[in-house]
Amino acid sequence: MIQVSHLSYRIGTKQLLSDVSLEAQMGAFTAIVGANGAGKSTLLKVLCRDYPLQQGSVYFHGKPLNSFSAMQMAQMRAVLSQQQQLSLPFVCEELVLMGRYPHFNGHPTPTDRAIVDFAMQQTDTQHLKGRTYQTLSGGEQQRVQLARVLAQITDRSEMQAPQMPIATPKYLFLDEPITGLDLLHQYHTLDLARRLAQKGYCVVAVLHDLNLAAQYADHLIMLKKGKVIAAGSPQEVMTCENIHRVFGVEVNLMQHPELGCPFIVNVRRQACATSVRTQIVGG
Amino acid sequence: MKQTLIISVLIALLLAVVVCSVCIGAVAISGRELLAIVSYRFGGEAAGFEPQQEAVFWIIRLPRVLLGVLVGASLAVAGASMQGLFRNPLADPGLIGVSAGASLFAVVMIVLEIKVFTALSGLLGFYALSVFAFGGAVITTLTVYRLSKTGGKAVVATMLLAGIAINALAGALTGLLTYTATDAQLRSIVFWGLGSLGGASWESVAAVAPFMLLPMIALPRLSKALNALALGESEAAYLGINVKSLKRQVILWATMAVGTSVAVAGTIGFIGLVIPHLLRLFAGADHKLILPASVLLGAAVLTASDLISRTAVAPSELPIGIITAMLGTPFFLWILIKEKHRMTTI
Repeated sequence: MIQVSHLSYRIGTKQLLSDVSLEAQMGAFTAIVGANGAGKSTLLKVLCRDYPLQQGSVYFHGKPLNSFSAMQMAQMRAVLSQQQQLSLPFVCEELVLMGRYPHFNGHPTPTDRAIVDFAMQQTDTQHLKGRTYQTLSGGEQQRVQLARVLAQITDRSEMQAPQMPIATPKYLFLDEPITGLDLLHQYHTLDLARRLAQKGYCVVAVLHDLNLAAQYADHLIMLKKGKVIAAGSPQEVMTCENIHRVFGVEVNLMQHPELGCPFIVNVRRQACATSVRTQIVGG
Repeated sequence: MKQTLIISVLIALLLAVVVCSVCIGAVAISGRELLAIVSYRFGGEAAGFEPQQEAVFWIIRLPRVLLGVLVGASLAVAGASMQGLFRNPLADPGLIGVSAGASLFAVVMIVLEIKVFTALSGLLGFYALSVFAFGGAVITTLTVYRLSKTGGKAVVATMLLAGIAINALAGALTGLLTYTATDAQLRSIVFWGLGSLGGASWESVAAVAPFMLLPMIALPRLSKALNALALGESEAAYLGINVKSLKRQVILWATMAVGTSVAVAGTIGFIGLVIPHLLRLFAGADHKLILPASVLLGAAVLTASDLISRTAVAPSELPIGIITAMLGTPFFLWILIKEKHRMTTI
């Protein structure tokens, strides 16, 4: 479990996060949503120790974030970042193998190789194994990176029994994991993240698509200008008021026919929005 | 395995080049004579070769070839790891001022002939120029590294910019000194600036060997970390790599390798940039393969270039820097064009 309390972060005079407190449970998919520049990526970067802890505290399963060594961290936490440019011509299999680097010295063991295969299979990238990363499309690159991230925190027992709950705490951070993916692979990626959460992983993702966030996440955190505006289940957080407050748009909400989660059906024009109050249709 | 194949081919190539290099020259040695000379040294009988051949082999050729192997390997492995560190296939140890600093200090010593230097020469003899050039390399690299530090982190883009600025400054100062040099000094500056293995002796090989072998052993040990760094600094840190210490180590070892080689053989361009690049075209980017392969191919190419430099216009000698650039550039361009063609036809 990740516990964040009274976290603030600033660069120069710009306050990027102010007094953020939140929890992300093990076995839950937590989605962070908010407008551009709301501090979503900053929050993720502080959790990943990319940015130093300036104010407030962060605990990973009860221990302070800074009490872990870089290696301990690398063995239990993987991060999929947004920009994935590479200037050297790595073959995809080598790239995915890099995810295993925290687990072996010198040469990879057969287990490491098997986990690389498993991760590529999970992300539907097996056919790209021998390809040079630069020759792939943006979406394919994204999936190969996801395979690397997955390989980093998968262990042998998970390969043998993919449904079994995991034994040690593991954390997966995804920064806009579905940007640039086609529809099938968007679902595929989010399904995968959800399955990992059901197995006991603590999954935290920054998402832009509110509908997908509501469908897949167990827990939503809405940020605006570095502050937490709302946190809770999608039903609690995705209200017309909150969406208006955070994104500045008036929306209509429906209930998803199968999942029961709230669903944005259309964005009203500003002119009508002033006269008509928000309402929930259906459900 | 592809990796084992590439490494074995390169080892065979290096051995072939070394054997050719020790045999070809003003005094020719045949393969059979070479065997006889070597077996005589290890207790065989003194037959099948001329004493002159033996002397040429042990005193002139072998140390020179070994120096070529060491210098070529150092330049190439330093280039490959710098490219890994800067995450840019165009980076070169020259970029962060190693060669420019070494050159500047050497020219200062040649031209100014100040008392301190003559005293130093008295103390260090033959090595004074080399030691001084090495000092220059270390000082410029440290300056560039310091300049690029912001908030405790060395920013790679700033490092490149600082390197360009320091290179320009060192180049201008070198130019100024060259302008004021006498004719005799000028000859020695030119010859030194274009590189030569002419100064090779067992003493010079022994003096530089430790400073070249250490980086050759240390840099390939960083290959996993350099691979991870290719993903980006943050990504490497997520994989548990201490990026700060990695940067320091690569810069230390690369400066040591290049500084030493500039100090002993002058500035030799092209090897550090092109050898790793060439290898990546065939072998991909994995540093676990590229770094050891660079050691082997760099050594082979520089030894071959030196063979050409001392035989092409015999009995005179061409500076080796001219050979590496003149033969290497067209070859490199040919590879680039071929590769471009291949990439567009996929």
